[in-house]
Amino acid sequence: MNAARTKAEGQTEVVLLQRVAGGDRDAFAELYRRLQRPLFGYLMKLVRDREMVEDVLNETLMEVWRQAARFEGRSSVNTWVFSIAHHRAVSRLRKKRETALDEEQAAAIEDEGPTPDMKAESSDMSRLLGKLMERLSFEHREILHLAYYQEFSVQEIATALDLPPNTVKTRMFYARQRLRVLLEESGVEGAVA
Amino acid sequence: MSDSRNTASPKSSALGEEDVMELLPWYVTGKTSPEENAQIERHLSASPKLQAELAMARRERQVSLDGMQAIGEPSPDFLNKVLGQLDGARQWGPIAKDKHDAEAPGLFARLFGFASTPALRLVAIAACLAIVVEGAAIVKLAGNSSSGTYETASAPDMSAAGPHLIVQFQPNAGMAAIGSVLSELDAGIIRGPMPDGSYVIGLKPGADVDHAIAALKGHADLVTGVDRGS
Repeated sequence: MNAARTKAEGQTEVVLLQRVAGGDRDAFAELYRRLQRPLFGYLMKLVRDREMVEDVLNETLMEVWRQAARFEGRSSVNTWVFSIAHHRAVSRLRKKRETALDEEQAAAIEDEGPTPDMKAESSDMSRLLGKLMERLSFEHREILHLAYYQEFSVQEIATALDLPPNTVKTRMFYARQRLRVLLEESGVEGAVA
Repeated sequence: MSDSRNTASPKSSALGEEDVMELLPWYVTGKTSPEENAQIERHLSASPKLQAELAMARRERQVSLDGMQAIGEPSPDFLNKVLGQLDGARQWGPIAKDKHDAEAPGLFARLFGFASTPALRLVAIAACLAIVVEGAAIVKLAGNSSSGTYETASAPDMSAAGPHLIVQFQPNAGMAAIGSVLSELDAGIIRGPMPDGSYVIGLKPGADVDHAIAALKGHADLVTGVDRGS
């Protein structure tokens, strides 16, 4: 089940956020219940360490509480909260790395985890694809997740990540291109278009 | 969401094969506009290469969905833990939208969400002066617009050529203190607050970014986070 939201859900979330801005804890709890699964899934895809994910989620929710009155309705509540989560995750990962790499470089680093047993998996294209998607860089995993699982439009991703829409499309193109290269390297013929 | 589909741009009236290739991931999730769909489908009917790309996009999407099934959710006591922290968390006020509103808080007060008491007005004026001297007066963008964002008026070199930082200030940080720190760094606020409450700070061209980050992080009483901007 994906996390696509209906128009009615979006309107309800706006009302809840307005109540949160007035200090309503029940509204805050209800907003949490509505957003926690997609947010948690998003952060798990990016950060992958459960303890750190809960820390980032905690920071994100506290920021929602503090900033609720500043939501201006120029995006959906969902997109606004994801934007906060994105920036918090990037910040936390930067601290974790404790390097002088800038954000762009850090985001572009591919996962250094164990390489899947390509030959053993090559008969199962979907499993292989899933493992290779996990090896993509932070920003490539993020764009695939937001488009495919969260079902964000180009504009919603642009808003959440504070990027121009054309950069969103280009980033997705390169993420998919990189996936093709990894498939090719895994012995899947004709993966690179 | 009122309408989360991509809006048809002028470019969408003449999508090329590369444009279609870029849009396929959104086509498979139903996030392309009807105008884009018509063109995508026209291209698809004539291009085996695009058909293969579409099949791949669908497979990628399915793998994304399948991969989330075992992802789980936060601990059962997570919400209570967060609720327990709300007491000590200050909620910021809304951003005033009309700079001509005599009752609206001062510029810095609006920027940082503080109440506009007479004492704070004085501090705000002092902070404004300090930054104006540094050539980084902050003005609200497009006076009557509802954007609620800000940019520097007299420091175009910062926004155009200098490096940027993303800074989050403590909610209770003093305005004069912030102005003082920014002055020390020859820095100015270019825009903000961003959706997460952070501000884009512009440094002068050639400024030592690592030094600026370290200096800002050194003011832990004012600054909660610093990241490199674009």
